[in-house]
Amino acid sequence: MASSESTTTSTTTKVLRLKSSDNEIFGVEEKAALQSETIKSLAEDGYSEDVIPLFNVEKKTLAKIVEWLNKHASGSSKEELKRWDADFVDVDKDVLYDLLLASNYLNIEVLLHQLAQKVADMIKGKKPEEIRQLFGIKNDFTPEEEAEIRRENAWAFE
Amino acid sequence: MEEDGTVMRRWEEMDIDILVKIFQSLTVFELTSGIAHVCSAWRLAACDPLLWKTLDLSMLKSNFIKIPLEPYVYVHCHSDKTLTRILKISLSLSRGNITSLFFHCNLYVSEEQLTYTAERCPRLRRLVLPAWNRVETVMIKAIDLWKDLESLTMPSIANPLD
Repeated sequence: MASSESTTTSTTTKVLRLKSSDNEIFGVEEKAALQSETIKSLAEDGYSEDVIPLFNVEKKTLAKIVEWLNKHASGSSKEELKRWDADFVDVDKDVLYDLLLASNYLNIEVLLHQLAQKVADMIKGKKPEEIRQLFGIKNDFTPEEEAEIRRENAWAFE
Repeated sequence: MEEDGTVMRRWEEMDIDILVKIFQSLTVFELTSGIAHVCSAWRLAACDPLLWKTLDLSMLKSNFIKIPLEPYVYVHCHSDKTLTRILKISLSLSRGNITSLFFHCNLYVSEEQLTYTAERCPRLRRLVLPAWNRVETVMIKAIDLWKDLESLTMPSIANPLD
């Protein structure tokens, strides 16, 4: 009957299966998963009935991403989501690094923006040497670049 | 968890698009305060044209007093130094890609600063320069350099004693 059929389709939500690079499979409701443009196009390409392989994302990062996707599809209030997001990005810089790469690869614009904002906040007000220390970056400027930087740092025009 | 720490995450090898994305969250003061002096890759990202289409200095005011003689303002040398520093770094990083340039209505640019800026913004299309008291004589030369200029906002300057 038409009525019972419509009840069935509305209660059964489709689940997509995402596979991490280290072969862990995560089941995610379609509505949540499709926030990723990359997953969306893979699903449209016919992967949706099968497992969707995400070669660039390890399971511990994918677990975090799935957590974010679910939360953002859960219908939480704006205020709650804001608090939750602030906690979500409050992680050490290695996790932040992996999440940035993953959200870029999965093309989740909102998450990528949140993570970028978090890193920007960490950089603000710091001197180059402090930034290098914070992120473990080596000063690898060529002599030409060094000269250019010295000119930029000089107080007067030349 | 157990595999943590086996992979080195090298922030100097971070995808340049992601670095640009991060830098897009910074103001011009933060962009010019040191990120381009961290390492080669970060410098390259800090020079991305996406970051430099618009140079908005509408947050920056001069410390000045009004005087009865032309140019009707006297600007404290610290203000000139601050502006010079921001201009030098941002114009160097912009690699000539700035198309819009905005100044605060109380930011009094000097002749030297305007000439320096004009030479480094060859693609300028839109300029808002409300406080041009000090640059009347070099303005014509500057406008000559901006072949693509479409919009120029320079309200008239009144003698404050008139």
